[in-house]
Amino acid sequence: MSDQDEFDARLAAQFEQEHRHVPADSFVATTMRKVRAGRRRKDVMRVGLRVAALVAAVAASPWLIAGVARMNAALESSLTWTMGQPGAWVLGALAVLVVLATRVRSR
Amino acid sequence: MESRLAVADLQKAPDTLVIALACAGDDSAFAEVMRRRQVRVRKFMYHLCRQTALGDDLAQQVFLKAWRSLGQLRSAAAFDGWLKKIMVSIWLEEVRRRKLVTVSDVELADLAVHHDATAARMDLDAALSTLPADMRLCVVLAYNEGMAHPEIAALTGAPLGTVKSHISRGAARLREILADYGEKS
Repeated sequence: MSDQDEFDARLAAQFEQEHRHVPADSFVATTMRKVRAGRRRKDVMRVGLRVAALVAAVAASPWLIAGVARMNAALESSLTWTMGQPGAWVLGALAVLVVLATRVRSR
Repeated sequence: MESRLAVADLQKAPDTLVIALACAGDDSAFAEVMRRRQVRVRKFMYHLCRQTALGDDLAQQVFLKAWRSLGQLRSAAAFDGWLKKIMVSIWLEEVRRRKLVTVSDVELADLAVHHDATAARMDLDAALSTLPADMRLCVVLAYNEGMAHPEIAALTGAPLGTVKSHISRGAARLREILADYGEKS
């Protein structure tokens, strides 16, 4: 066995030796307490986020309702315009344009 | 989550079963996994930082991170390699955060004064702390974890040549210091 091999074996043996430190039970118990505390924090956060989302939805409901009503009105007026004579002309012109554009692209 | 096995049964259960239970959210199974591996993880951290309190703190961080990321574990058989990755990443984060440095020769000389029954251990840890952090990590992974050079390169993300050079230069430095220390004591 060379000097280097002997040294490597001695070094590996030194690494094998136990450290003097606190017993395993205390380490495991402390870490598990932290694990449980972390999980409790996560649970509290999840419930908190759900409650916050619910409160935000309730608080914003008047604006949400008004917004939906405005959108409905806008949709209705645009439909009425489209169904009229000017709307029909515009839609027809658009259809012709689309057909022409498709033909030009396919060449 | 309550354990499906009694503590006594868990202690006798094979590793793969205990790990699978821990992955399913069983606290007692995770505690058992930790109990079986705590000496290895703590020793690894002590060798790297040379402080009992900091070593324990880092070992705790390893297990807390493992607990949080258990869902990412593909199979129980891969647990030890996966834990090793966490150990290395926690240590590298610590090095970046604290900008850990090596001890000076003066400090090393001071350590010789406190030479006692734990001399061999003091000797080794003191000698290790004189190595730069990345070299120390490679040496500890090679000698403490018994890992091959390519495995260390894959784990640390360092090129294989760098790992080989770190280990050979690190071991040479340790040999030099330990020989000096042996002569002084």
